[in-house]
Amino acid sequence: MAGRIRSLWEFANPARFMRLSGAALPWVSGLAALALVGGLGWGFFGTPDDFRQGSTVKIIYVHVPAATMAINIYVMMAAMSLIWLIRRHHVSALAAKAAAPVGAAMTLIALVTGALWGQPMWGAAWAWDPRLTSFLILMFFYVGYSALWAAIDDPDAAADLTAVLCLVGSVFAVVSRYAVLFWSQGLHQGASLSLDRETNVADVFWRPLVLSLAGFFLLFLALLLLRIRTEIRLRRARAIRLAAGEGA
Amino acid sequence: MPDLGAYAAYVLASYAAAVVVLGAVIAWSIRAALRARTELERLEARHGRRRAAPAPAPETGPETAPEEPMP
Repeated sequence: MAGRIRSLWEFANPARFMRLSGAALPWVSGLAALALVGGLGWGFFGTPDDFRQGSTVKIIYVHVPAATMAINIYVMMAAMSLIWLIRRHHVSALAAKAAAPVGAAMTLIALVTGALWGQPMWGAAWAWDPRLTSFLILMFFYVGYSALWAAIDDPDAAADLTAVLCLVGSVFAVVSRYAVLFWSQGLHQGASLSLDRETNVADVFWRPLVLSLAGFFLLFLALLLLRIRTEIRLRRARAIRLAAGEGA
Repeated sequence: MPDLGAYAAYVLASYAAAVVVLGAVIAWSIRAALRARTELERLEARHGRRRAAPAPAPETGPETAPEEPMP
């Protein structure tokens, strides 16, 4: 266990991170493409209509993975922000920064596909339902977080302030996840994926959904690695320019 | 193509939205990565490769695995 924790901390060294991520990125990208094409293709072409929801059940293969990733990416960003504030590892701050646009994209997909699913099923594309509203606020936190990074020139000051903002916003990530449990009202149903067979989606939908979830996760991981590598290179370029007196 | 019935527009629009948004993020990320790499290579070629002092091997955890300095 101690060895695993130690190897995790080794990613905090940018040079080591660049080496390891460079080797992993092609594999993660390839697996992401396979899982996404497999999961979405299986779900779209290979599953039947639901007896109540008809063909709209196929929206589950994009909506649920996107929504799940939207929440979990923010939780990951909060963890990275905490590591930055406590340990001052630059890669953790850059990981949170790199993840934010991907998380915002996942949240946008969840909101749009949710509206497209809600219109025929609920008769409304939007309602001020606890889960929908908390997701909208989560979207605002993603956008605000990226905007704050862009607004501050000093990288360490930007990392400090965005970390605090991220931790504040993590409340809404938790609320988004558990809104349907906290408030037993609103249009949105409970979790689609559950360990309880009574409430879990039927097996015929569950298998492609899990594959699609894996695809979304692997895509996030590939984009995260790529974007962290970009941020590290931009930091190095900035350092060279500063050392050469060219300005940041 | 499966028969999506009366809900075809909603289902197809959902998949299209996901493809467009994810495609945009992927394209933006790749473009930014290529530009950053090109810019760094250009600067390194002009000013020489800036290297940090060699770090000791991280044998015992984060305290002995200092980061490469960043500005």
